[in-house]
Amino acid sequence: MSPDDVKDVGCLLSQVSDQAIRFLVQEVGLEAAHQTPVRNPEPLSLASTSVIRGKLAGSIVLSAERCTVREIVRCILGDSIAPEEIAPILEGTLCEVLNVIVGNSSRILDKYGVRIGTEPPSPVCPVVIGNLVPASHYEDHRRVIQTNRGAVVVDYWRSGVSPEKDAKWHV
Amino acid sequence: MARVMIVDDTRFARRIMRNTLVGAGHEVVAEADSGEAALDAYATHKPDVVTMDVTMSGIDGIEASRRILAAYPDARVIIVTSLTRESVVHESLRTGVAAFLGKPFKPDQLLSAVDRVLT
Repeated sequence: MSPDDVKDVGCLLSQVSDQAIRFLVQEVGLEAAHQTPVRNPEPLSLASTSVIRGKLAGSIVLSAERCTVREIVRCILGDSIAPEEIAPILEGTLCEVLNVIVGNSSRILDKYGVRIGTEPPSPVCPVVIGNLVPASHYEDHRRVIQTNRGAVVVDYWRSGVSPEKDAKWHV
Repeated sequence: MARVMIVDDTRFARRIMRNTLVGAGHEVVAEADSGEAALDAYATHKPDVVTMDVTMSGIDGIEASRRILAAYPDARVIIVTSLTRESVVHESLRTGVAAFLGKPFKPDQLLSAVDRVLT
Protein backbone atom coordinates (compact mmCIF):
# COMPACT_ATOMS: atom_id res chain seq x y z
CA MET A 1 0.00 0.00 0.00
CA SER A 2 1.19 3.53 -0.69
CA PRO A 3 1.83 5.86 2.26
CA ASP A 4 -1.33 7.75 1.31
CA ASP A 5 -3.34 4.53 1.39
CA VAL A 6 -1.89 3.62 4.78
CA LYS A 7 -2.89 7.05 6.05
CA ASP A 8 -6.37 6.65 4.58
CA VAL A 9 -6.79 3.20 6.14
CA GLY A 10 -5.84 4.71 9.48
CA CYS A 11 -8.40 7.45 8.90
CA LEU A 12 -11.05 4.90 7.95
CA LEU A 13 -10.38 2.71 10.98
CA SER A 14 -10.29 5.67 13.34
CA GLN A 15 -13.63 6.93 12.06
CA VAL A 16 -15.28 3.53 12.18
CA SER A 17 -14.03 2.77 15.68
CA ASP A 18 -14.97 6.26 16.90
CA GLN A 19 -18.45 5.80 15.46
CA ALA A 20 -18.61 2.39 17.16
CA ILE A 21 -17.74 3.94 20.52
CA ARG A 22 -20.29 6.70 19.96
CA PHE A 23 -22.97 4.13 19.17
CA LEU A 24 -22.11 1.94 22.16
CA VAL A 25 -22.08 4.89 24.55
CA GLN A 26 -24.92 7.06 23.24
CA GLU A 27 -27.35 4.49 21.85
CA VAL A 28 -26.71 1.53 24.14
CA GLY A 29 -25.48 3.28 27.29
CA LEU A 30 -22.29 1.25 27.71
CA GLU A 31 -18.93 2.47 28.89
CA ALA A 32 -16.51 2.06 26.01
CA ALA A 33 -12.94 3.04 25.22
CA HIS A 34 -10.13 2.14 22.83
CA GLN A 35 -7.71 -0.53 23.98
CA THR A 36 -4.33 -1.60 22.60
CA PRO A 37 -4.82 -4.74 20.47
CA VAL A 38 -3.51 -7.93 22.06
CA ARG A 39 -1.85 -10.62 19.96
CA ASN A 40 -3.60 -13.96 19.82
CA PRO A 41 -6.71 -12.86 21.65
CA GLU A 42 -9.59 -15.19 22.31
CA PRO A 43 -11.77 -15.39 19.19
CA LEU A 44 -15.00 -13.51 19.54
CA SER A 45 -18.38 -15.10 19.10
CA LEU A 46 -20.10 -13.03 16.46
CA ALA A 47 -18.84 -11.11 13.47
CA SER A 48 -20.20 -9.17 10.56
CA THR A 49 -18.45 -7.88 7.47
CA SER A 50 -19.14 -4.91 5.26
CA VAL A 51 -17.49 -4.72 1.84
CA ILE A 52 -15.84 -1.39 1.12
CA ARG A 53 -15.61 -0.18 -2.48
CA GLY A 54 -13.37 2.50 -3.90
CA LYS A 55 -9.71 3.22 -3.34
CA LEU A 56 -9.67 1.32 -0.04
CA ALA A 57 -11.44 -1.71 -1.49
CA GLY A 58 -11.65 -4.42 1.10
CA SER A 59 -13.74 -5.31 4.11
CA ILE A 60 -14.51 -3.91 7.51
CA VAL A 61 -15.18 -6.70 9.99
CA LEU A 62 -16.88 -6.03 13.29
CA SER A 63 -16.51 -8.76 15.91
CA ALA A 64 -17.94 -8.92 19.38
CA GLU A 65 -18.56 -11.16 22.31
CA ARG A 66 -22.02 -12.67 22.40
CA CYS A 67 -22.70 -11.09 25.78
CA THR A 68 -21.96 -7.65 24.31
CA VAL A 69 -24.41 -8.14 21.48
CA ARG A 70 -27.04 -9.48 23.88
CA GLU A 71 -26.63 -6.31 25.91
CA ILE A 72 -27.08 -4.17 22.80
CA VAL A 73 -30.29 -6.02 22.00
CA ARG A 74 -31.52 -5.81 25.59
CA CYS A 75 -30.86 -2.09 25.85
CA ILE A 76 -32.49 -1.21 22.55
CA LEU A 77 -35.31 -3.75 22.30
CA GLY A 78 -35.93 -4.53 25.95
CA ASP A 79 -36.88 -8.05 26.95
CA SER A 80 -39.56 -8.59 24.32
CA ILE A 81 -37.69 -11.14 22.19
CA ALA A 82 -39.14 -14.64 21.89
CA PRO A 83 -36.57 -17.45 22.47
CA GLU A 84 -36.74 -18.64 18.85
CA GLU A 85 -35.96 -15.13 17.65
CA ILE A 86 -32.83 -14.60 19.74
CA ALA A 87 -30.27 -16.25 17.43
CA PRO A 88 -31.32 -14.49 14.19
CA ILE A 89 -31.72 -11.18 16.00
CA LEU A 90 -28.26 -11.38 17.56
CA GLU A 91 -26.70 -12.07 14.18
CA GLY A 92 -28.64 -9.27 12.53
CA THR A 93 -27.83 -6.86 15.34
CA LEU A 94 -24.11 -6.90 14.63
CA CYS A 95 -24.86 -6.42 10.93
CA GLU A 96 -27.05 -3.44 11.68
CA VAL A 97 -24.54 -1.92 14.09
CA LEU A 98 -21.84 -2.24 11.43
CA ASN A 99 -24.21 -0.77 8.85
CA VAL A 100 -24.83 2.25 11.07
CA ILE A 101 -21.23 2.94 12.02
CA VAL A 102 -19.82 2.48 8.51
CA GLY A 103 -22.62 4.55 7.02
CA ASN A 104 -22.05 7.37 9.48
CA SER A 105 -18.28 7.11 8.93
CA SER A 106 -18.67 7.48 5.16
CA ARG A 107 -20.24 10.91 5.59
CA ILE A 108 -17.32 12.17 7.66
CA LEU A 109 -14.69 10.47 5.51
CA ASP A 110 -16.23 12.15 2.46
CA LYS A 111 -15.20 15.47 3.92
CA TYR A 112 -11.59 14.26 4.21
CA GLY A 113 -11.60 13.14 0.58
CA VAL A 114 -11.70 9.46 1.50
CA ARG A 115 -14.60 8.15 -0.50
CA ILE A 116 -15.97 4.74 0.28
CA GLY A 117 -18.93 2.82 -1.02
CA THR A 118 -20.40 0.03 1.02
CA GLU A 119 -22.49 -3.06 0.55
CA PRO A 120 -24.94 -4.53 3.05
CA PRO A 121 -23.12 -6.18 5.97
CA SER A 122 -23.37 -9.94 6.28
CA PRO A 123 -22.49 -12.34 9.10
CA VAL A 124 -19.13 -14.12 8.93
CA CYS A 125 -17.46 -16.82 10.97
CA PRO A 126 -15.43 -15.02 13.65
CA VAL A 127 -13.28 -17.99 14.66
CA VAL A 128 -11.17 -17.92 11.48
CA ILE A 129 -10.60 -14.18 11.70
CA GLY A 130 -9.68 -14.32 15.35
CA ASN A 131 -7.16 -17.13 15.08
CA LEU A 132 -5.20 -16.38 11.92
CA VAL A 133 -4.00 -12.82 12.10
CA PRO A 134 -0.54 -11.54 11.13
CA ALA A 135 1.43 -9.50 13.66
CA SER A 136 1.41 -6.42 11.40
CA HIS A 137 -2.37 -6.46 11.34
CA TYR A 138 -2.59 -5.47 14.96
CA GLU A 139 -0.66 -2.24 14.50
CA ASP A 140 -2.17 -1.05 11.23
CA HIS A 141 -5.50 -2.71 10.64
CA ARG A 142 -7.17 -3.42 13.96
CA ARG A 143 -8.89 -1.36 16.59
CA VAL A 144 -10.12 -2.83 19.85
CA ILE A 145 -12.86 -1.32 21.98
CA GLN A 146 -13.34 -2.51 25.52
CA THR A 147 -16.79 -2.01 26.99
CA ASN A 148 -18.14 -2.82 30.41
CA ARG A 149 -20.02 -5.68 28.72
CA GLY A 150 -17.23 -7.24 26.66
CA ALA A 151 -14.93 -6.47 23.76
CA VAL A 152 -15.66 -5.22 20.27
CA VAL A 153 -13.05 -5.41 17.51
CA VAL A 154 -12.89 -3.54 14.21
CA ASP A 155 -10.68 -5.05 11.50
CA TYR A 156 -9.86 -3.83 8.02
CA TRP A 157 -8.87 -6.36 5.35
CA ARG A 158 -7.69 -5.19 1.95
CA SER A 159 -9.20 -6.87 -1.10
CA GLY A 160 -7.39 -10.08 -1.86
CA VAL A 161 -5.99 -10.39 1.65
CA SER A 162 -7.60 -12.73 4.14
CA PRO A 163 -6.47 -14.99 6.95
CA GLU A 164 -6.87 -18.06 4.75
CA LYS A 165 -4.74 -16.72 1.89
CA ASP A 166 -1.66 -15.16 3.51
CA ALA A 167 1.11 -17.60 4.46
CA LYS A 168 2.81 -15.47 7.14
CA TRP A 169 0.33 -15.84 9.91
CA HIS A 170 0.83 -15.94 13.65
CA VAL A 171 -1.56 -18.40 15.20
CA MET B 1 -53.11 6.30 13.13
CA ALA B 2 -51.21 5.02 10.11
CA ARG B 3 -50.82 1.68 8.35
CA VAL B 4 -47.07 1.34 7.92
CA MET B 5 -44.83 -0.96 5.94
CA ILE B 6 -41.25 -1.41 7.23
CA VAL B 7 -38.50 -2.27 4.75
CA ASP B 8 -35.07 -3.20 6.14
CA ASP B 9 -32.82 -6.20 5.59
CA THR B 10 -32.09 -6.80 9.28
CA ARG B 11 -34.65 -8.12 11.71
CA PHE B 12 -33.11 -6.06 14.50
CA ALA B 13 -33.73 -2.79 12.65
CA ARG B 14 -37.26 -3.83 11.67
CA ARG B 15 -38.00 -4.70 15.31
CA ILE B 16 -36.78 -1.31 16.51
CA MET B 17 -39.13 0.44 14.13
CA ARG B 18 -42.02 -1.92 14.82
CA ASN B 19 -41.71 -1.40 18.58
CA THR B 20 -41.68 2.38 18.15
CA LEU B 21 -44.55 2.54 15.68
CA VAL B 22 -46.84 0.07 17.43
CA GLY B 23 -46.09 1.69 20.75
CA ALA B 24 -47.41 4.95 19.33
CA GLY B 25 -50.58 3.32 18.05
CA HIS B 26 -49.66 2.80 14.40
CA GLU B 27 -50.32 -0.50 12.65
CA VAL B 28 -47.46 -2.35 10.96
CA VAL B 29 -49.22 -4.03 8.03
CA ALA B 30 -46.14 -5.54 6.42
CA GLU B 31 -42.41 -6.01 6.74
CA ALA B 32 -40.04 -6.62 3.84
CA ASP B 33 -36.38 -7.56 3.95
CA SER B 34 -35.43 -6.46 0.42
CA GLY B 35 -36.28 -3.97 -2.27
CA GLU B 36 -37.90 -6.67 -4.36
CA ALA B 37 -40.04 -7.86 -1.46
CA ALA B 38 -41.02 -4.25 -0.78
CA LEU B 39 -42.47 -3.87 -4.27
CA ASP B 40 -44.63 -6.97 -3.85
CA ALA B 41 -45.67 -6.06 -0.31
CA TYR B 42 -46.64 -2.53 -1.31
CA ALA B 43 -48.88 -3.82 -4.09
CA THR B 44 -50.57 -6.19 -1.65
CA HIS B 45 -50.99 -3.96 1.38
CA LYS B 46 -51.03 -0.37 0.02
CA PRO B 47 -49.75 1.09 3.31
CA ASP B 48 -50.21 4.72 4.26
CA VAL B 49 -46.47 5.10 4.87
CA VAL B 50 -43.35 3.11 4.00
CA THR B 51 -40.08 3.27 5.93
CA MET B 52 -37.33 2.25 3.54
CA ASP B 53 -33.73 1.29 4.31
CA VAL B 54 -31.21 2.08 1.55
CA THR B 55 -28.40 -0.46 1.89
CA MET B 56 -29.92 -3.77 0.86
CA SER B 57 -28.85 -6.55 -1.47
CA GLY B 58 -30.48 -6.62 -4.88
CA ILE B 59 -32.25 -3.37 -5.67
CA ASP B 60 -31.47 -0.80 -3.00
CA GLY B 61 -33.97 1.29 -1.14
CA ILE B 62 -33.64 4.33 -3.38
CA GLU B 63 -34.41 2.27 -6.49
CA ALA B 64 -37.24 0.47 -4.69
CA SER B 65 -38.68 3.85 -3.69
CA ARG B 66 -38.41 5.08 -7.26
CA ARG B 67 -40.32 2.05 -8.55
CA ILE B 68 -43.01 2.29 -5.89
CA LEU B 69 -43.53 5.98 -6.59
CA ALA B 70 -43.61 5.37 -10.34
CA ALA B 71 -46.41 2.83 -9.89
CA TYR B 72 -48.14 4.59 -7.00
CA PRO B 73 -47.52 8.36 -7.17
CA ASP B 74 -49.41 8.98 -3.94
CA ALA B 75 -47.15 6.65 -1.96
CA ARG B 76 -45.45 8.19 1.05
CA VAL B 77 -41.94 6.84 1.54
CA ILE B 78 -39.56 7.76 4.33
CA ILE B 79 -35.95 6.82 3.64
CA VAL B 80 -34.29 5.56 6.85
CA THR B 81 -30.56 5.01 6.45
CA SER B 82 -27.12 5.39 8.00
CA LEU B 83 -25.82 6.78 4.69
CA THR B 84 -26.35 10.43 5.50
CA ARG B 85 -23.84 12.03 3.13
CA GLU B 86 -25.25 14.77 0.92
CA SER B 87 -25.19 12.78 -2.29
CA VAL B 88 -27.43 10.10 -0.80
CA VAL B 89 -29.83 12.64 0.68
CA HIS B 90 -30.10 14.47 -2.66
CA GLU B 91 -30.54 11.28 -4.65
CA SER B 92 -33.23 10.10 -2.24
CA LEU B 93 -35.17 13.33 -2.38
CA ARG B 94 -34.92 13.45 -6.18
CA THR B 95 -36.88 10.20 -6.33
CA GLY B 96 -39.80 11.97 -4.69
CA VAL B 97 -39.68 10.40 -1.23
CA ALA B 98 -41.53 12.29 1.43
CA ALA B 99 -38.81 12.41 4.07
CA PHE B 100 -35.29 11.32 4.99
CA LEU B 101 -34.27 10.06 8.42
CA GLY B 102 -30.70 9.20 9.44
CA LYS B 103 -29.74 6.21 11.57
CA PRO B 104 -29.39 6.00 14.49
CA PHE B 105 -32.58 7.86 15.28
CA LYS B 106 -34.56 8.52 18.43
CA PRO B 107 -38.09 7.09 18.57
CA ASP B 108 -39.55 10.61 18.56
CA GLN B 109 -37.72 11.39 15.34
CA LEU B 110 -39.28 8.42 13.57
CA LEU B 111 -42.73 9.24 14.89
CA SER B 112 -42.37 12.91 13.92
CA ALA B 113 -41.36 11.90 10.40
CA VAL B 114 -44.41 9.65 10.09
CA ASP B 115 -46.72 12.39 11.42
CA ARG B 116 -45.21 14.93 9.02
CA VAL B 117 -45.70 12.85 5.90
CA LEU B 118 -49.29 12.04 6.85
CA THR B 119 -50.35 15.68 7.07
